[in-house]
Amino acid sequence: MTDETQIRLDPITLELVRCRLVAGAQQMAATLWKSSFSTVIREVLDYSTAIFDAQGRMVAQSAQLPFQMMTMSAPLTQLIKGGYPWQAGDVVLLNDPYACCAQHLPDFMTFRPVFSCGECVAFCGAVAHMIDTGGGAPGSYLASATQIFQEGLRLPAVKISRQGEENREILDLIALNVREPVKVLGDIAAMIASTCVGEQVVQELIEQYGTRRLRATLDGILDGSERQFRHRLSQVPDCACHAVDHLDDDGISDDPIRIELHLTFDGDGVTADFTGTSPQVQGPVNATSEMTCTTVNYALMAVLGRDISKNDGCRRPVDVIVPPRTVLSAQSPAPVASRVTVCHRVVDTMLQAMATVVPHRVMAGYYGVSNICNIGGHDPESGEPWVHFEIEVGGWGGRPDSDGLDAFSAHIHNIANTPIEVVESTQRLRVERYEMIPDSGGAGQYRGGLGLRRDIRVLMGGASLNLLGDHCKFAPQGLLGGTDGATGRYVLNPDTEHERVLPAKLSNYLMQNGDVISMQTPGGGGFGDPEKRDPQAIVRDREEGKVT
Amino acid sequence: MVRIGIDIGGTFTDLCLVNDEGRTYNTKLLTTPEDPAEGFLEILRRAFEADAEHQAVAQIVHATTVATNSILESRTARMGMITTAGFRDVLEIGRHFRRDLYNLFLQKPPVLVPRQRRLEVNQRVQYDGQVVRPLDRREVEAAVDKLLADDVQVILICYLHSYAHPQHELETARIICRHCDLPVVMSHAVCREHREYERFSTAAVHGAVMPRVRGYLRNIEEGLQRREVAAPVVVMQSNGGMAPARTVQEQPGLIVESGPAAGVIAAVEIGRRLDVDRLIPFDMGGTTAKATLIREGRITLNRDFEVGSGLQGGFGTGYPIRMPVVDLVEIGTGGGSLVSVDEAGHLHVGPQSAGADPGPACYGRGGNGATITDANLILGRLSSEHFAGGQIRLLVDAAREAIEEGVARPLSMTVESAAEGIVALANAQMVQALQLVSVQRGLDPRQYVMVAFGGAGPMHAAELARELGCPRVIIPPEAGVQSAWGLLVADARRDFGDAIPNQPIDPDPALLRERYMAMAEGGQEELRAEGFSEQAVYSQLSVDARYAGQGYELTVSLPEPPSFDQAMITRIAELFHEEHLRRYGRSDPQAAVEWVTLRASVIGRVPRPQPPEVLARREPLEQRILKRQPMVWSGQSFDATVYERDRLGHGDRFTGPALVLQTDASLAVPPGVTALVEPTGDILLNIRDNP
Repeated sequence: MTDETQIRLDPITLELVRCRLVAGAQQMAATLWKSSFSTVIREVLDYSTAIFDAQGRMVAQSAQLPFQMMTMSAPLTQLIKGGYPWQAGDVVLLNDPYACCAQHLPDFMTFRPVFSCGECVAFCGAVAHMIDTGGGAPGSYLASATQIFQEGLRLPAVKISRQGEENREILDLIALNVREPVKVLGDIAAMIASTCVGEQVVQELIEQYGTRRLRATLDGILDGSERQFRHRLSQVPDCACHAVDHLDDDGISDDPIRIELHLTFDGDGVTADFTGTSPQVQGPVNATSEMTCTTVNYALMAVLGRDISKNDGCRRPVDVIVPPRTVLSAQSPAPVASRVTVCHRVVDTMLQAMATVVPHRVMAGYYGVSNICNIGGHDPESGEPWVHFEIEVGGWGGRPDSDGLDAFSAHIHNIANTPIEVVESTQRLRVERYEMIPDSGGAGQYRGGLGLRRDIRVLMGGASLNLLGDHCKFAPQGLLGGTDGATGRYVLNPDTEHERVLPAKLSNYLMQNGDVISMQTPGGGGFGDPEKRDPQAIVRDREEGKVT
Repeated sequence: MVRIGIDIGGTFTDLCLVNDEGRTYNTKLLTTPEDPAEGFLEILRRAFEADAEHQAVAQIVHATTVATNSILESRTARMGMITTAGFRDVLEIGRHFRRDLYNLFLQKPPVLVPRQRRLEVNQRVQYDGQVVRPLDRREVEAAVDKLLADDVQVILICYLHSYAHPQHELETARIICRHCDLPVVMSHAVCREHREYERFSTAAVHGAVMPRVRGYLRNIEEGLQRREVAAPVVVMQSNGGMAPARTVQEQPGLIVESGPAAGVIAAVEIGRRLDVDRLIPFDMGGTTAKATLIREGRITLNRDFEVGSGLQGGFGTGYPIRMPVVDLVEIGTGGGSLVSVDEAGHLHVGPQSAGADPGPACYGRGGNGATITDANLILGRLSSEHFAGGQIRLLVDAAREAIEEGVARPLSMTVESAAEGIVALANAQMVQALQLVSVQRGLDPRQYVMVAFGGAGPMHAAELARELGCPRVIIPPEAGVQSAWGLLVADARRDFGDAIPNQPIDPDPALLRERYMAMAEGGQEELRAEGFSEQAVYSQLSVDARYAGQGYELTVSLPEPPSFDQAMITRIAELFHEEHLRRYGRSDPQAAVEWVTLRASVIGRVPRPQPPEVLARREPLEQRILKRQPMVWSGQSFDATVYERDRLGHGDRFTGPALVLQTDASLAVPPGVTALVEPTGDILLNIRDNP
């Protein structure tokens, strides 16, 4: 027993400190956002920030994407356990999923230790998606990759700042390996600035409460969320449920990829067992078991613990079992750039399984894919490489009390679109269409939300197109009598005689000047019997042209 | 001559009248939500009755919630929209980002123009203003016919890149004018900035509130005519400046934050009379607390405002409207905020509120949930007999019972320590809001003075200031009618923006001079036409700049007077680096600074009323003590002195624990904090010397 446990914790101090930490994480996020350079952060909002205790457990976060919730504690804990030589003023950068337990290579993570009187008390961390990290395709999503070596620069934990001094050599190394070095280095600087802001917040807390009391309070915050989550789990009847769903393919072979889940609620704990899931695949749609755990946790929190303060205490009641070397527990050197694709399907299986126990708390199948579309090339005048990064959303699944939202971010996905006027003023591209797709939502008492269509024309020759889509063969599933949503499509030069449907996973397709790529995203599945749909809702849909 | 300020809030309609000698008359009336104009005219009638000399009215300055309520209550215009082919869903898709990450039952705010009334026409312009496809006039005509047949009240014109090429929107407006006399809102005219969704949404908000705002202003005008009041009505805008009713009819979205802006302007003036130019105005009422920051005597403005987003606020929660709005942080912590303990033993304060009815448990009107007011009552920071001017008698026993049941027992604490815990947590939430407006903008609250108002503000101010490090707190005498009074000290103001996309990094000084002068001269002419003298009108010029490649800008003021030469451009870059360092903790003096949007604010100064001095009282302070009552601070019980605000005079000085009662607020002075009454009637609390 450490002496921390002997400190009496009063609930007021606990809540005061928790509020301050959450506000601190939000302050870090605001700093990162406003001083970032690439559109991935400033428009798409693909970044998160968090504060950790001395053992690397996440205590407070400001997540923009639920998918980034808790992803930083695994690499940090591993470093701490391995006896990493932290010093005050250090900032560590890493990105490798295999060496460091990180996510995919574009997600750079930075950590700054907070010292008081020579003792490390806490850490501040930021994760942000870099516009490019090198590798075989602009934007670093190479659909044809079969090894992580093709996906870009791999970084073990490296000190980009040593005791407050910038490590120029590492930054130069990164600059040389990425397509948009100015943006990447600018974004790294923004991440460093954000961890600085977090450190200030923690230092103030140390000053106010002292190291010992603060440590005990952090423990108490984690225990509080665990207790609350266990209480919710204990209210779910003990049961075992089962679900199976599929990914279209891995882009290399045509074989569907099976995700199988056995979910068991038992007392105040829950076990998600993915035995029966396909082995790891050649293409870059693999996830590591760490990514799988994060996704399982998201689904449980969304269904049962929406209002619980999110921290690593929420992980304790959850047991995730994945046999080795499956598509959900890939091992090196399997490529993982688009691990989000398979994680979307993990959300689907989790919701389908929970629908059998708590049907009033779930939604039908959603668009379930990140619709990644990267276009890149070289500026004809300067010869400089450029990358344009598009991620799109689609329809929500129908819900027990209402229709699925049309064309809106769902579940682990939460990204903003890049304004058309920003796209066109920064790249040689023209957006020709941005609209919802009528009839793409599944029918139901509550219909699925609509998918959307975004058509982009390239205004120069020699641009290369990279796609990482899914749900083009298997549709988002309807629930309790609702029908499936529409599948997605990627079409070259739509509505012309040269129209051609492209494979959803495509690498470095060479576009001609004037070519148009049309992204058409999936709609959500319907919820409940379509016969029971409110006649007024049917009329409204027709008037609005959402259902024809 | 008199000037009259009328502020219509959610609960009360307040009036403040000031004559040439600076004497004021204040009154309050319950708001008439069905037809707020009725309350406006009624309170004016009362003021005329009270004003025996029947002086002529020079001007009526008005703040109103009519625009906001129109959105909040979904009583918006039936609108049609004409937009670029391929993009009719931009307004509905928005930025498709959500704040509430784990909520599977989320609903988006309803789109202001339904899909069937968003019509597309063939036209296309590039980011640099170059026309790719000319405007198809026949399609415009067909669209107008269709919208007219569909009975719309307002037509929005929203084309891509119209900020760079407004001609197509203007041409479309001309075609509409030939067909009908419906009001038209052009996106470039209300927001000359890029990012299509935000610009279209700005147009939609202006259009949505137009019929209600116009109808309301018309009712007031007619009412005034009936009463033979010839005075012009001017309206407080969200930017803290006044605009004539005519301007507001064209761009009614300008007044969505009318009332809150007036309160902030009042704080600026209070600072001016006490010679303080760095202030943190803090307003705590029954359901929310609001804070902002005044820097070097100037209000802070925010350009990322969203209407109707509720308390959570922020990107993606409401309807964006791009215009300068007084930068308020609002949180759901007010006197009536409900307190609860969850299954994990966490204490929560707000954001649910007991409201005015049934109200906190101590009101004895059937509310049994514990609130912040109940906690304050138990701690002796309120007087049970003197609440709301004695209209409500507070029940200490009911408060104790609610806190015992709801908090003390579940957490195994005494009622007093539970009450102190509740106040501590509420204060922590408010300190966060206060830090948002100060520390998070890179500003040190230790250099700022807090101005506390609102019914509950003065009760919490001293402790908040101490936590934040503010050395002093001002409690103004107008606390009750702060906003109405603020209307009388507000200047006229117009804001202009001019985007200069894709300029070279170092812009041409001659071009800058020309663009700035065009905005400033246009605004000055407008104000002179409204009767402002040459001397009373001036301009503040600034630029939104960023590091080349960044997506968001910081506003930097141009040096006074602007020289429009290379030296000025270099100076702006230096100021930008400084501001970036202050706000985000880093700067890059080697990097290029890009000019994005030129801004001009043109201001018409209104003479300030000189309030008569508050005189010293002859009677010694001890003889003016109302009573003594127990008060709890940091677990200790004190026998505190209670004073009445009306009976305090210039130079009175006393040390806490003490309580000062006034009709609409109660001021709690913690032990060791000294209070001093200024000749202006303001009470100054000295915090820093008394740790």
